[in-house]
Amino acid sequence: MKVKFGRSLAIAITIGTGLLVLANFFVRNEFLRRVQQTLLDWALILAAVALLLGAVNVVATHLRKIRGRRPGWVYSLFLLAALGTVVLLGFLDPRGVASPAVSWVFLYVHVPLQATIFALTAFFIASAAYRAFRVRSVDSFIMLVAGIIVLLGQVPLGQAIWDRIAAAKDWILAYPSTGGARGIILGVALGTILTGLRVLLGIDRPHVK
Amino acid sequence: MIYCPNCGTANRDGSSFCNQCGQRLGGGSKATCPFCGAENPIENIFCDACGAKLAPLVTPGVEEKEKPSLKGLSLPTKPAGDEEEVRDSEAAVPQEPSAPEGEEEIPDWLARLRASLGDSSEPVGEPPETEEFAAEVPGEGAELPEEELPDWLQELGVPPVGEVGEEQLAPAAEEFAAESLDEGAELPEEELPDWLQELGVPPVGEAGEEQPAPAAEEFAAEVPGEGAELPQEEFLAEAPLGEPLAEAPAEPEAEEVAPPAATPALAEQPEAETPAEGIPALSEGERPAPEAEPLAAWLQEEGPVILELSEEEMAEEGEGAPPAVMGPEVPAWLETLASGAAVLPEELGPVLATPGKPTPEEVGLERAAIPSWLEVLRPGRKREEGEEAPAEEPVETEGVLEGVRGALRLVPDIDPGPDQFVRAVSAAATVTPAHAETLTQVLARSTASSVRPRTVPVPRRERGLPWLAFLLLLAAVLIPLLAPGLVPGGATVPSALSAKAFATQVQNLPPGAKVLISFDYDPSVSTELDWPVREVVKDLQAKGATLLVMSTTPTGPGLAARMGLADTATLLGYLPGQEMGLQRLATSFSGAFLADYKGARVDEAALGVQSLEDVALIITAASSQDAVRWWVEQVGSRVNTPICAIVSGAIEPSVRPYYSSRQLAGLVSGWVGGLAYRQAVSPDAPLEAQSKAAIEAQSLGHLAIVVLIVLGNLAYWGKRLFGGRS
Repeated sequence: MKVKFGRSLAIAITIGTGLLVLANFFVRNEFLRRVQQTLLDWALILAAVALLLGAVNVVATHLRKIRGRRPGWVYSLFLLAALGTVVLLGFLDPRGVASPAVSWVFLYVHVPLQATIFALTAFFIASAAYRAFRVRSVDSFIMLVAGIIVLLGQVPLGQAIWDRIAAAKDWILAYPSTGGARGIILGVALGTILTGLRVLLGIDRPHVK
Repeated sequence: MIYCPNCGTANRDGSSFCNQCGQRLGGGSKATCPFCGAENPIENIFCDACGAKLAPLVTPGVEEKEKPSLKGLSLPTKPAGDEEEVRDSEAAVPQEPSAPEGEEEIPDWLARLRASLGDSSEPVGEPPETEEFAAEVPGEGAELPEEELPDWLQELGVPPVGEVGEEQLAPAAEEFAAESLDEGAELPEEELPDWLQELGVPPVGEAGEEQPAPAAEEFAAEVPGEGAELPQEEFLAEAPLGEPLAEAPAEPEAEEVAPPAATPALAEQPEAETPAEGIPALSEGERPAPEAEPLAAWLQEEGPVILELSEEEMAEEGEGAPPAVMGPEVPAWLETLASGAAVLPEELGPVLATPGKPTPEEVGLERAAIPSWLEVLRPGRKREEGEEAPAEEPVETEGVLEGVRGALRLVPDIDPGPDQFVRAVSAAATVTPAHAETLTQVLARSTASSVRPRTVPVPRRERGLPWLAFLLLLAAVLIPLLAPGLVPGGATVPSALSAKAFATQVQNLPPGAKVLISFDYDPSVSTELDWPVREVVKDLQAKGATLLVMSTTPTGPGLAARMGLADTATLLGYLPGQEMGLQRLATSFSGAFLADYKGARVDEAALGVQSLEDVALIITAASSQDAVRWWVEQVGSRVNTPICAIVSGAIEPSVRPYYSSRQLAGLVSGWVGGLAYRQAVSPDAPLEAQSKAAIEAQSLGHLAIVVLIVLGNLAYWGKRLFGGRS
């Protein structure tokens, strides 16, 4: 019985909270605004704590890997060492993340490495282009043509090849591409509305499972 | 089937009320387990929590335990609607019960009963004199006040026992027997119970006059509890309503409470030398006296009243119909059996009637099972104190009860009937081994997956493909650096309307306007977005705008800090919560940032910003579609401040619909979009060398991919057209 009561209470709180926040979108009321603001402040605190929990989870996971000498445990060791170093640097300087040491690590280690990893995708894209755009049907032919137009229409070289290619690219992006993207966005919006209603009506209760 | 929580009757699915007692059925009703108290769906037969059987234990027996009743006493009566005959048969009731032996105290219920009869002078606890006791015991000559009668007896309209004369009983019984047991009458086949028809039961007349005895055997075998074979002590201990009786001396009560009588059908049992299954064969000497053979306690509890006759009176009746009178609550088929009108299988009659004949099973007959509704009504046998628990009860293997057997028994005190137990075990026996076997097989399998990802070998002709891709991209990067201006159209920047709109928003800002810039991208696309962002910030600084810099990603503030904005902008830092954070920001700017990126307190009054309405322009530099969507949905729907976006080229198609719908006031996409913005703001300004090299490299990179696409199609079509020789 306690479990059922607890569930009912959780559902009631969820529905009440959701309706209060939702009402503030349609009614300009100072009380509702304050209630919503308070609830959102709580949510932001929880989100920040969740970030902290994520960091703790990373540490715990890699500690287990090191203890068990699992494959790649050396990388875990470096990860924890780097993590500890950055955290230590941040705590030692009262400016925290704005301290020169942390900024140096971020600018000259983090940013170049992440940008480099992302740049490698250019090679994968180039290799995939060799196989992915083969013309096997009319549809694939249309996609091939559209892809080439957009690729070349984005850069000055394309205009040098065909002066109307930029206009063709704009047309593809403005109509077929935008139409498809808008359809996806509308579908996501409808799904969001439906999910919200199901939660507000207590049909879906992912928070009490 | 839906079992009634009140009487246990099995009702058809969908029934709203019990066919037997009118109890409401359905979703709102719950059957409470009498052992663990858990609430179970009304359809449950066994408790979900402890496995105890619900149906028989929530039957009236539970309630009746609380109120002492006169059930268990054998009172002469007759079927409803036949009161006069019963009244006339009073004389047949034996009036002289045996005096109690011993000096044990009388039970409380008896004392209360005596007090209610007005004999309060008798001290409670003293054994009554034989005559007094006989006079006080209901049914033994004393006139019981009507309010003392059990409900079921009052419903039957049974007159006080004292009115029934001894001399009148025998004729009445004979008359009733003549009515109910018309031996010559042939029972219509359609009136037979289904299970009897399946047995091929012949009409009574065919069975002959010798067959009442087999009928008794059959009846005794059919009736659960086998009342005829229960010893007197067991009978008293078993009766749920007879707890006071169980506490009292068994023998005196057996003699006093149960007057010399026998179930009519059972009374003829001694004649059957070959007992039915489940009934031990007893010699005449071993067989208990007819007057000491009550029906099973559970059957007596159900309310039927048995007219009991002494052995002498039975002998006087001779072969006449046994004066069995069953209450109306007894099902029709039982009534038929008890009255002797039961029809027996032709094969069974001689078998049971003649000693030395084979048993029914031996002649190929299958004994009819007890109806499920009757089995449900049967209470379990109360386990004797000190009786060892069944071996099936598990031994606790962990916890404080480790090693203790039956500490948390499935059924604490009730030993379920054999059929009930078999049912539970058989249900588990069919399912559990299969599950166990499956689980064993799964656990026995090797943890190493036998299905490994299939490695597709790279065709020989494609083994040089990665090298080709690398060389083309390397050329795309090196050529602009080593030979600038070599790429055709390198100095020409494609026009972009969205970039022009962005530039217009910046140019229209009033001097000193407050602009909020959110760095919502991560370092992976920093090389693509840093330059256009820097170009925009440069223009804003030139306009004297007050820049408020924030981020919805943890790395955003660091990227903003390296732009050199620290002296000219307020770095508000990271706003957690993603879209929730933006919703909070749109609700009120106040309190959203308590400290800036450097840890200093944010002075909102000094900033002059109380809400986002106070900001002239919002710019989000994003590498994900979600970030742009959050700004449009959570902020754009609440404030009128225009929102512009600087996005990576990869997400432009996803974000462009917001620009088309004017939810975004301007859009800059990647490096090229930045150049277009630059060209829109300063059409006459020459491009920097770095910008030229970047845009030429991008042109060549796109061309390299197009070349690879063309090569791939040539290889594919060459193979198809020339059979793989290409």
